[in-house]
Amino acid sequence: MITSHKDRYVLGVALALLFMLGIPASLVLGSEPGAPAELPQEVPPPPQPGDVIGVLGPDGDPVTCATGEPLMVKVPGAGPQASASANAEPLPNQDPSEIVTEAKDSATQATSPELPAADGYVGWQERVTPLVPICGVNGEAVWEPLGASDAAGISHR
Amino acid sequence: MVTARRTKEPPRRKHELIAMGVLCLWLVGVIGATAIAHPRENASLQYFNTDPEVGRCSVTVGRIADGNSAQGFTRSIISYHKLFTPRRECLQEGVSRPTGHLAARYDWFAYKNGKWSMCHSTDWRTNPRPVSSWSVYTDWSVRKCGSAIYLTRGWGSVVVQGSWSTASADSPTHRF
Repeated sequence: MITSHKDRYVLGVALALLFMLGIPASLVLGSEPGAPAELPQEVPPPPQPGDVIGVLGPDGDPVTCATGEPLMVKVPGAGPQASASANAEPLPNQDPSEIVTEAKDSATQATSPELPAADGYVGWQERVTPLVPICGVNGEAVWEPLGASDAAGISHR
Repeated sequence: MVTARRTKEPPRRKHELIAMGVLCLWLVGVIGATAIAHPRENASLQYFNTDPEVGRCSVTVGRIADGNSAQGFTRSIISYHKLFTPRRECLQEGVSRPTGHLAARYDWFAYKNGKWSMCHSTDWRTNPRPVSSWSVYTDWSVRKCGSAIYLTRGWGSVVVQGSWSTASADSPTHRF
């Protein structure tokens, strides 16, 4: 029988220890790295650039085009950055002599008033609107900004 | 005359306070550990010899997290750093790059029914101002491709000596 304060105290500590050691790992930290339910071993490596894979819709099912074929896309690779529009990067048809070199960059950094006076870790970020693959006219994938389909009344994505 | 009599706190109260203290400490630890555990990310490094004496390195990160709505968060980061050349160590100290010399994008994959599928992607976005670290992110308000295991492939690119140098990093997987 638990009759004294001391008995209740010992019981409370024992229960607290059991709780701390046993229950939290499965219930509270269920999403921790390494938890079996979180990272099943059978997940294969992710697709590589150039692989052709299917597309999942918002319901979690594969997207099927009007042709009846599943929508497939080629996994993007490193290529598109060459066409990114900006001040100094080489554009596809740019004269190589116009390409800004590292040395010129350094000189710019030393003189431009908009640059920080000293090097340091300065970060900048942007919240982006993702692109989503949709079915093109012939069933090929076309990338468009997320939400554009909804605005246009297109139902497949 | 009124005399104030100080009552001694009973032992039971003291024990309860100790037990509550232990419980609070445990809760703080659990909540802290959970917060630290997310986000999760992997990084890849590139090394550059920009001059005989000065080295540079870039770090590309693919990150996945729960996000504010617990429906998923994806981020790609590219940062440019000083390199300690003798030991080839990428230092924390950043090196600013001019506008348009850092680029980032991500791919958002979903694994379901034994197959990897494409969920979303982005175009390359370049830094709009001189910085040493540039990132793009999306905080999903709803699960965009249903219940699945997700992965972020972060892409980062930096102009070094006139040409783009690109790398990617796959985050760990995460179920949403």
